[in-house]
Amino acid sequence: MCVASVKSMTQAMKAKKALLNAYIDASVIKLDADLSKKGCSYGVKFDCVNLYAAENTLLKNRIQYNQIINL
Amino acid sequence: MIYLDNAATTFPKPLCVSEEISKCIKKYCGNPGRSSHNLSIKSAEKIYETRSLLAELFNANPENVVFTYNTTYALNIAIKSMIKYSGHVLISDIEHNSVIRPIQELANQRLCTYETFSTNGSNEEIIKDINNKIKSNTFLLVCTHISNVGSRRLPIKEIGALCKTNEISFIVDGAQSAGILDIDVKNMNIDALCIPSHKGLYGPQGSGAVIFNTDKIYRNVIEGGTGINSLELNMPDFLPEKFEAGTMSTPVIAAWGEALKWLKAIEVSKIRRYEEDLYDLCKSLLKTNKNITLYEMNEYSGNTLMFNVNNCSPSKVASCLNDRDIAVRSGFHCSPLAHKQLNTGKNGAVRVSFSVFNTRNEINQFYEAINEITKGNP
Repeated sequence: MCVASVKSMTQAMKAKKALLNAYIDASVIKLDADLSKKGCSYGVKFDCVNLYAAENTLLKNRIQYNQIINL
Repeated sequence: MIYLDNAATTFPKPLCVSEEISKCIKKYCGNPGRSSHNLSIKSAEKIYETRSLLAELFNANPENVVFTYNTTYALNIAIKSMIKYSGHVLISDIEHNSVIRPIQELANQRLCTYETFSTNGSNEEIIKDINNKIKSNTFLLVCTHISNVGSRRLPIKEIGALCKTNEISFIVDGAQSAGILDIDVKNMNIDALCIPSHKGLYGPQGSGAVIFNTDKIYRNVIEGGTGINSLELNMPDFLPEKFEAGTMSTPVIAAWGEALKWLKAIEVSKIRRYEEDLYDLCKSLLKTNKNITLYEMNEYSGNTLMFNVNNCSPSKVASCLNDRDIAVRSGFHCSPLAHKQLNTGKNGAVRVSFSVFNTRNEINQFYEAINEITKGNP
């Protein structure tokens, strides 16, 4: 599974909604603190098969993600 | 019971509101944005849903919707986060204490100066007076959309355009207009719209929001845990988390979301027309009684009427009505400036205000009760 890490829970929710609207199954997860130098953070998880479509959807919806993590 | 104190808080609420509060507390009330378990995520989802519904209603971005406890907290956050040292602020002469007091406190601390613009006149005259009072250091204008005293409606779109032209930040107190009038923060050039959940949006008490529509950097006005960036000593510098420290009231915000869905299904414009009909009926009835002084601030219909019964104090009238199981509010309604404009005197006035749950029959019953009181039958 792939995770796009975002800066807040609000952005994670926004990302999830955008992906679901694009028919990409997605869920919000809390990320381990060591994935962010700043501490607690969140991400939106989706199947890596949809990576390019997911990235495109996030871009179109102006949702900035920090990195894509391959779990 | 006939409830005519809807400008203070609407009552009753749609059934879906109490049902969602109960459902949340019983089934999914985790701490939103704090954990990874299902209850925490579900709570965060419900909060985001309400955020999105508010963003849609006021044409804003969901992340720019900041939840607060009520409109007063929303106004305090908006005003204090935008304050500029030694700047000049304009407010209207009918503001509620939720605007006057934060501004006065900032003036007491010598952080700003302020003056009021006149709302006594046509919209053109209001704009002219604002224009005359803008100084080179004027950076902020704060005003109500509709006064909680007498339904005075300010020309928000025109004021917003003037603020934009002069690069002045514009904060609107939407306590009485949200859910009654159409508000588009982008089209009206509103930088921060402050609203309650529990009035015209029919949510529960205990929540409100600032809806930001600006990219300007804001001062922090509250610090604490946000569930993100926990290793950082400084608050996040982005919305909404910048101003949402501590645990939010998930049951209240979730129920507010259900109220917004209910409102959306009915449509704000239909509610407005319905309430204006009740207003017109009530006004026409009160006008027939020569022992009543009716206070009108403008030509618009609205959902709030102010009056006094001659030779009877407002509190006595409210008490007599309460004895007949009719709820109204007397006094100054936390708006001394507006009462001064209306010249209501040393005891203020009686306010009746309507919601979509009131009926024409209730207005007739209310007037019958007032008629009895004016005839000296307490």
